Amino acid sequence: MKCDHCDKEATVEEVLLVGDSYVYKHMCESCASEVGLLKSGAGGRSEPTPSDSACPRCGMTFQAFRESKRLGCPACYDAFTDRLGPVLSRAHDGATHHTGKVPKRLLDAALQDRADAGPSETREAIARVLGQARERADKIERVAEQLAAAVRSERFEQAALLRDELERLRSAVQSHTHADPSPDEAG
Amino acid sequence: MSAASHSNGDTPGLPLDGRHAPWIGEGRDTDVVLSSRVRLARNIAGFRFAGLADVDDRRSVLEIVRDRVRPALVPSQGDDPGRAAWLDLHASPRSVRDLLVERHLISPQHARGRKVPPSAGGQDPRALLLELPSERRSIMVNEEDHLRIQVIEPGLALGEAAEAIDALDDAIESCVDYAYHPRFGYLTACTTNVGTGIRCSVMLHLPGLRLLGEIDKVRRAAADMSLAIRGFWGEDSDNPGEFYQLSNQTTLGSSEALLLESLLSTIVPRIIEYERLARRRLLETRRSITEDTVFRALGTLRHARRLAAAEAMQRLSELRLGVALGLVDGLSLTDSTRLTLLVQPEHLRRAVGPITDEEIRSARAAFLREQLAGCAEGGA
Repeated sequence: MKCDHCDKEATVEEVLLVGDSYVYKHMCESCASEVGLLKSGAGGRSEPTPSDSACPRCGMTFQAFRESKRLGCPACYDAFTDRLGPVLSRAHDGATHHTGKVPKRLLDAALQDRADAGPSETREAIARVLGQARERADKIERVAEQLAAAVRSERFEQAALLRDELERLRSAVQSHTHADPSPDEAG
Repeated sequence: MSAASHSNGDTPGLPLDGRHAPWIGEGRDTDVVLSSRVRLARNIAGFRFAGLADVDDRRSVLEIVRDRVRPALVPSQGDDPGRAAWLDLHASPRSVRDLLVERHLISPQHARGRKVPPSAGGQDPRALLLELPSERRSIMVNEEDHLRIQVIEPGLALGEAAEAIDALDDAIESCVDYAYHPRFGYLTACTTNVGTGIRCSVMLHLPGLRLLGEIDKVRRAAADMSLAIRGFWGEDSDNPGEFYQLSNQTTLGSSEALLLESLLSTIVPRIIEYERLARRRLLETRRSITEDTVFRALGTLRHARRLAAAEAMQRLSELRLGVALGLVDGLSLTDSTRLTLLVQPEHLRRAVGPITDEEIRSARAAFLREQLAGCAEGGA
């Protein structure tokens, strides 16, 4: 990959959290030093490197994960939570949170906790676990961005597909919100 | 419920022909969509993922799945309840594992297994749990994830496959604790599967688009929608015939239903429409070239004396196009699909008896001559 600033090979990657999404910058060593990302000459980073701590459960290090692309055990997800964000975002079109199926036993537990609360709070608790409304909104935003990009680059067949997709998503949200005042129940 | 008796080594009762391969059969839109498949990646809480787990851990996972999950695969109802066959792949001969790879029931990696030092037993404990005789539902145990659950249906039936796999997943969840995280969802060894762990795919036959040089458009449309399109019988450069697999790439941030919906309501119907349009255009504007392609394929398949697998697949793909266009009599779409499986080396060996690698091309040509004896140029 080329440096964002010049034609040299990029060796430094900077990941910035902008709003809800990650932005990647790629630079060669000299450009990275110029913007203060690397200490010039020393070749080290301006901030201390977080020690490559291992997963307390299985001993997997983040470096080893980067090489093998496989985590060692379920606890790795907690051990590397922060550093996994950009990895997940890149692999899943910007998404970093699960919004799909939840094991029944967790849903049952959510219901149990709310058993003494009112029906709307129960609904809210379940909707939160399911995350459906946020998911639709995120998806609409992402498809709208893809559509704009397709139109910009004159890929009209793609644009037509994406427009259909967008209309479908929006009408799904509308029909759900129309049928029920609580959008959290959509989907 | 009649779980099959434990089967090691060879596999009595495993169908030897293509009759029951779940991705071959009558279904919706089978002129373009051969089959639909949904798979879930799941891991059991409290164990390391299969790649890093030691042999003892992997053996424990195997035992948990065999004892608890196996009864969930085939519930005891209905007149013909089928049975759940358990195949210890580490104890199965290579020919059986190759057969299962050809049938798309296990991955090549699962067939090979990991290297295990002789001091630890020398065998990588791994298995396949398979519903028989339909082969419709199956579970790879100790592949990259502890469980890789799969449901396959012929034709365009992603919704049905998703429903079936969701029910099976619920049944399994009542027997074991899945590794699950409120933020990341179902935890998997590779971060590209985390979240829903779901991969929905359709197997497509796209000779029309390929002949008109429009396959790249499909590729770009797929990429723009975060879908992957790859060869069904191998990677791009090595995928004879125009058989493709289209599947979702992202598994995090969308619900299963939404992923499915975007495949089913937008891209798949569009591809079917484009492929049918392409086939009509071939007949209307390039009839003699199209007929030439189809009948050359028929001629080769009916008369060749030696056929490599790749050539057989390419000619069968063209013949299948001819069947779909009504140019060929005496062969159904389903049978033309079935032949693409039966000409694979291990299936061929099962059909014609033991043959050496030297003899396989002649055996394949002879087998196809016999199978296509009643197949002829049609009157369309």
